[in-house]
Amino acid sequence: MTFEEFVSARIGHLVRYATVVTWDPHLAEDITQNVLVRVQARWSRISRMDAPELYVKRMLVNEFLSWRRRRAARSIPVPAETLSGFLPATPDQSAQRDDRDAVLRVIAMLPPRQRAVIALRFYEDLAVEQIADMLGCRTVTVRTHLMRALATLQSVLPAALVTTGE
Amino acid sequence: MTREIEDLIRTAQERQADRALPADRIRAALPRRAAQARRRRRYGMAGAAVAAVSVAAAVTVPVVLLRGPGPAGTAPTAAGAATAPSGAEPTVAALPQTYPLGYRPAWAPPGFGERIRFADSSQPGDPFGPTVQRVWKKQVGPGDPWNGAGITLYVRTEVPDPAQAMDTSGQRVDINGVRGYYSAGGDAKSYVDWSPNGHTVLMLAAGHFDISKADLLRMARSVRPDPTVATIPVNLRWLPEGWTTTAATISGQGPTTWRAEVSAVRREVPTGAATPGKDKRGVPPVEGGTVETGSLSVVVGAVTDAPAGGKQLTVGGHPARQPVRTDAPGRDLIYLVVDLGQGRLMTLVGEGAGLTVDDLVKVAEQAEVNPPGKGWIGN
Repeated sequence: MTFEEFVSARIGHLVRYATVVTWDPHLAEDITQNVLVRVQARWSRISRMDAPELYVKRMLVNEFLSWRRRRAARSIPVPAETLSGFLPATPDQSAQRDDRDAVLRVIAMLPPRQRAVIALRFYEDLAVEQIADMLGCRTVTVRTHLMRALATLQSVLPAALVTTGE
Repeated sequence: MTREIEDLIRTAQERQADRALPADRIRAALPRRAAQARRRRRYGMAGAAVAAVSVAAAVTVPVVLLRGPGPAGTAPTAAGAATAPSGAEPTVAALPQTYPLGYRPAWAPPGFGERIRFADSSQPGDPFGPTVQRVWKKQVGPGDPWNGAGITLYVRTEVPDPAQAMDTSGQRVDINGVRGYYSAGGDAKSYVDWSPNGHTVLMLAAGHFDISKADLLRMARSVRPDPTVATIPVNLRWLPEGWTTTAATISGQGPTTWRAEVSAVRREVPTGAATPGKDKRGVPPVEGGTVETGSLSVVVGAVTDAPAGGKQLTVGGHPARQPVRTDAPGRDLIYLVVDLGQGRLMTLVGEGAGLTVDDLVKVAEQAEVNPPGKGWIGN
């Protein structure tokens, strides 16, 4: 498979994946383009791998996490009362939609590494061990990120039933 | 409400995925990104500074103490004295303390002045080499300078194959006898790139600014070689072992309101890999076999992004404080704010790779600060 064939076949999925990892369509665009440029330069080697797409996804998530470190200092603290504000005061007919919107917003405020972990866990359906491989960290670290992310969501949506799927 | 939270997450992720930008657009812009590949701070397009990352392995050599062209007697150091730590050999800064600017435009739209300079180191295997960005803006604040309208000149002078590093899908234009390629989107972005010689690629890009094609090309055609060597005003003379500086940004609305930010990272070979270059699924680590495990930014400016309060302490004879964040996004960050005097604050923010407050204190104590040359900011 040539690089052009790979891009033609997979760019749609890669962009959606990057959008879920970054939670920012424009940042996903930038990161996807940057990574694909590097992939193109190394395609002769990458194409011989057993799982080229997995490797590209690994590059995407690491590109994002590298970028976010540079931006971490600029993260805006979000007070707890703001998170509480996402909850509907009382159940009503729009409660389900509110929950969905609240989840969208809370995921957006998760630390990037936690957001990346839940993207790999729930969007990509990867096992904890696979996620650890992709991120170059220990499985206990992945589980910690996962638990913290779920705990944050649970604190915002106290009625939600939390399961990790493991 | 008894919905399982995993279902909520998956639903939210699918909705988010549906917000992805059109893949065709991204694919069409790939050649342009070949010329932008390393940064930005994306990243620039997102209004952020594109800091560089990654050096495959840390190297320890004696650091050369360089002083900038600023006025004598105005070089506050957190240590109070510009002496190297006794008995310790400072860790090398991978990003040189000085760097050639290479090129500059002789004309910019009225009201625009050069207000940001950015330099980064090259990533392993990066086919574009190090990049210098010079940004013309109407104004920048005392904090993060990257938001808002601006015109950026990307200077890459160590490109092995310039033809491959340019977006050639745009409209062909002439830049002082050299073929250039002009592209414009409907989102206040336009750019032109060209290669003035066999190892240089220049790109002039407008972001969040509806500049006419004629003005963008006028500015591009005014670009000339610039022999100026810039100095990074903040010199991190000590970093923890394995850490290395990777990028620096200097900005300001005027000569007296400058701000400097230096980024450093630590990269390591991932633990858990079956072999150094290949994990158990046959997937090698990215970027030279290392991953970034820690980051640090050091900002000297008139303001700080750090939270208020914190434990009071003294760093190199200067009053300092150690704010702590308890919110989820910030609980892993370590802050240190040092009042250098003369209206200058040094803010250090780090995380990962075992970084400690003591490390930040030592980084601050050994850092040297020299005001940047006053001739360029805002001109």
